[in-house]
Amino acid sequence: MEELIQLKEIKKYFPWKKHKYVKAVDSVSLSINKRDIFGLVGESGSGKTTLGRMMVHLIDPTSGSIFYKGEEISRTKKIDKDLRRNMQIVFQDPYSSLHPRKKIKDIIGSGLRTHNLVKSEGELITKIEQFLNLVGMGEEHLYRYPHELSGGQRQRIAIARALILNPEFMVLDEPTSSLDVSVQAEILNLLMKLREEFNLTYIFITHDLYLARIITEKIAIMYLGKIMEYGDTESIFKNPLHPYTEALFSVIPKLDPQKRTEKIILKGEIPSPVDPPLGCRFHTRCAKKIGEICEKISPPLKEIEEKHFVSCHLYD
Amino acid sequence: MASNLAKENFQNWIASWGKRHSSEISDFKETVYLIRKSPLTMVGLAVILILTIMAIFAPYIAPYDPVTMHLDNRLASPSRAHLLGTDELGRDILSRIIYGAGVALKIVLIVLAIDLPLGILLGLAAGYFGGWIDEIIMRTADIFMAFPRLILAMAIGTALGPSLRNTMIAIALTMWPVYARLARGETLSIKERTFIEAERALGTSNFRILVFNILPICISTLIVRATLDMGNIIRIAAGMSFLGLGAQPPTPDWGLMVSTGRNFLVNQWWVPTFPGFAILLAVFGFNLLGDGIRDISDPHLRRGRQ
Amino acid sequence: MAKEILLEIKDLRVNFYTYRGVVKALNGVNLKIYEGEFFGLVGETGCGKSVTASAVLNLVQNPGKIEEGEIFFKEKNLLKMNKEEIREKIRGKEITMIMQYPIAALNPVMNNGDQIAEALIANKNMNESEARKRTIKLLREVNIPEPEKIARQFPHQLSGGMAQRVMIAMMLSTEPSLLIADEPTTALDVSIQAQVLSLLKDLISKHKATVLLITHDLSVVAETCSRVGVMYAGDMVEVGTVDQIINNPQHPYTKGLIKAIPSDQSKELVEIRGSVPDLVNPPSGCRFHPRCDYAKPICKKEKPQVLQVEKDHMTACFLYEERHDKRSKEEYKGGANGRADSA
Repeated sequence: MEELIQLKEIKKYFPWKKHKYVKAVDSVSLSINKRDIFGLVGESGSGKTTLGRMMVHLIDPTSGSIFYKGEEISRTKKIDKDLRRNMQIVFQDPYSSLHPRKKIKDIIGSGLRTHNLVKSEGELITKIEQFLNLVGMGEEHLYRYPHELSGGQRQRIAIARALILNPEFMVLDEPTSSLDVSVQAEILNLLMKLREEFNLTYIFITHDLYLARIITEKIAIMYLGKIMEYGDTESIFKNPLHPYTEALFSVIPKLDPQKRTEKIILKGEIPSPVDPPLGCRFHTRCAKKIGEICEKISPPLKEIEEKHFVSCHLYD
Repeated sequence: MASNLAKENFQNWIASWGKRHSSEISDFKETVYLIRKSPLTMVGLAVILILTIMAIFAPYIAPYDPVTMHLDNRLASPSRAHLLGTDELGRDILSRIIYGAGVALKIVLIVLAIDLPLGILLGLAAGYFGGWIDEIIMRTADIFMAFPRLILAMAIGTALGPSLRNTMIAIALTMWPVYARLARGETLSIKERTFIEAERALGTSNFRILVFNILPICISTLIVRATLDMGNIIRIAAGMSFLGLGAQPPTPDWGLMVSTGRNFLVNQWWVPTFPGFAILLAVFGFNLLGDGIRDISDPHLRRGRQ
Repeated sequence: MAKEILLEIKDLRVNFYTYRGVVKALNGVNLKIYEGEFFGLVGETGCGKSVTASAVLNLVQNPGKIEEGEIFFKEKNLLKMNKEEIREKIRGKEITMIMQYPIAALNPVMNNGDQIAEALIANKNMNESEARKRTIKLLREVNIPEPEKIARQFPHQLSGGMAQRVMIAMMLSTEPSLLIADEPTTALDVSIQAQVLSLLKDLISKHKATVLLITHDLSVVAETCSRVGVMYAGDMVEVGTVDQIINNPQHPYTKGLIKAIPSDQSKELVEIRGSVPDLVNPPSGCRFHPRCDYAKPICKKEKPQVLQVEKDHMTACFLYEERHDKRSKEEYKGGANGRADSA
């Protein structure tokens, strides 16, 4: 398994007002292999979106290192064009991620021009038509504007735009959260099909745990900028170790009444990332808090069973 | 045979052009529909159309030459020969008003031709790059905006010397900060939008982002503002000419006509009054059109623009 | 035990007159909500669920127009009432509504306590001090910690979950008979969503109110509601208890929806082919037929009638009718995999 991306103690602190920081990502380390479908799961404030943006070099980390195929890429502000081409992203909101005044042809074609991947207008059109078909749309959409398309169609355009550069990996930032349920299934099935065809690596960001279970092979559960639990998706679902993961699983609404267990309703609000709790980030809402150790020391990630890591003092 | 083939090629070309631009065509149809729904906008449009026709076809429409003096027929009251009477030098007022439309429109177009590109360039740079570029441009704009417009225009006009050309420069200098600010504001809000982030992820250069992504969105707001300002430009220009700083005789400028005709208001009322009406109608027409365009451009009214 | 019908919607038709044409948003919707129940209205974008809620409060704005139909609330036809009566007696009093973005619905320049107190003073004729006391009580009831402090704060200082609880407090202050909740937890995180829904359930049983919950999330409905109505493109396609809808769905759309939702049981996501129709030119007959794997020629021609599947369970589908009714076999020709000519 070739290691594609490695994150070493990545932090991102955004300056906020005077002398305060929004600690969006607070020391995250993980590695992603080629052909992985890696899930980043968390609620708002977890830092998953910021982390995703850092992986495609749209945001620079405050400290820590990002390695791509062994080479450190986080030190420089501007990266190599070829490198840029290899890391693409599909954003959550199809309504704002496409330029409202540009035609579909220009939206998809933008990257091709920048990277000189085509030599003539004719070649450009042919290639764009090819990718439109790949995402399930037709040539008639070439000259349309985004506002003439539905949410699902726009998201397909966003996918085509990223895919046409033949990237090595794609960050999918909640690609279906803004779409209707029936459309969600279509888009996700499309993404899986494309992954097979183009041998892609996906970093799939979502807040929907069941979706993550279906789509991802590895998963990291984030809370307030830190990873709480990380590893093989099935292992985590069969055996959630972290109290936060357990609580999340228990409160997601389920269709089947038999599957509903006693709900672990977390008390209180998600704390603000400006002043996250010291020690274990989750201790203020944790039903299984041990005591002072949880308040003072941030637990390290430990491998409890094969390919299953937890950050919790219960397993020290 | 050859002509049939040519005809067919031409038809194919039209059909494919139509397909490629079907969105713009339906957009245009929607604009026409909205304009027709608003009677005031139609009035504004009509006024402007009349002015434009007067400006372009003046030599064919005007009954008399606007500058030749006929001292034997001075201050004649309106009659069949001179529908709006003659002025203190015997010139036909109607003809001078018709030629005056051209002068007024010329002023509007030249002022905007200077201010729009200048404002866009400075505003985009200030908004996108921020930092010291932003500071320099904006503080300069502040200085210009600190003075009341007409006073500043008068000061610049006086300094440069009275002439139509200098009036246009003076007005342009008082108005560019507005467009720069507008462009800067738009740029600030647009540059944070997701589709710009997407372009960065694709590797698009700053230049391309500015010119091909941000500019097209700014332009509409600026054009709407420009149409709203057209009435103001005419008004200020008329004021400058009235004070002797603008067009010089014998140019058929409406403001100048009101100014020289002032003395005759009591007994030969038609001399200053008709040019005055012309100014009134032109400003009014531009205002109506400007309002209408602004309302029509409102994204909430249209199906998709965001 | 016959339950009282609190709200009954009969044959509601609503159109929107836009530049592109007439959007036939509601195509004859029927709905019954009984007193004391928690009813879920489920559907995707454009199905008309929010328009239905607006119609109940007679808030359908230009260019929308209620074309025909009746809405009976406690046996009075709301659509025939004059505007004053609705404003004074119904809206905000007997029927209240909470929405998806509570912070946007709250007045940004009034502090939270004042907003609730104002509603109490206006609707329950309390004086200022009584209203203040009751406000603090209400905030405590919705599990807001440090209610006095929150009452002095402004809406923008609240998190989504807290703001929604303030809205709930405000909307329950008038002790309404019907509370309409339009996607109240869609914008909230899962852990907060669970809090708010559990709170709603408790409060409803305490105040003996009836709730109409509008959402696109079938799982939320499954956990909180007693009965469900499924809407598609302006039609009510199936109504039943939660158990009936989830374990014995009759309408192909309902079945498709269940298979498309990632749930505890899914191993994969099954698509519903096609897309939501343009309601300016909706499909003829049954509006779902172009996307239906079981569609027959008759589905394209006629709109299906509402039929009873079992007690409290209705559906509008020819497929069901075929199995249980008398139409001639010709009209159903095509077989299980036959499709009506669809767009």
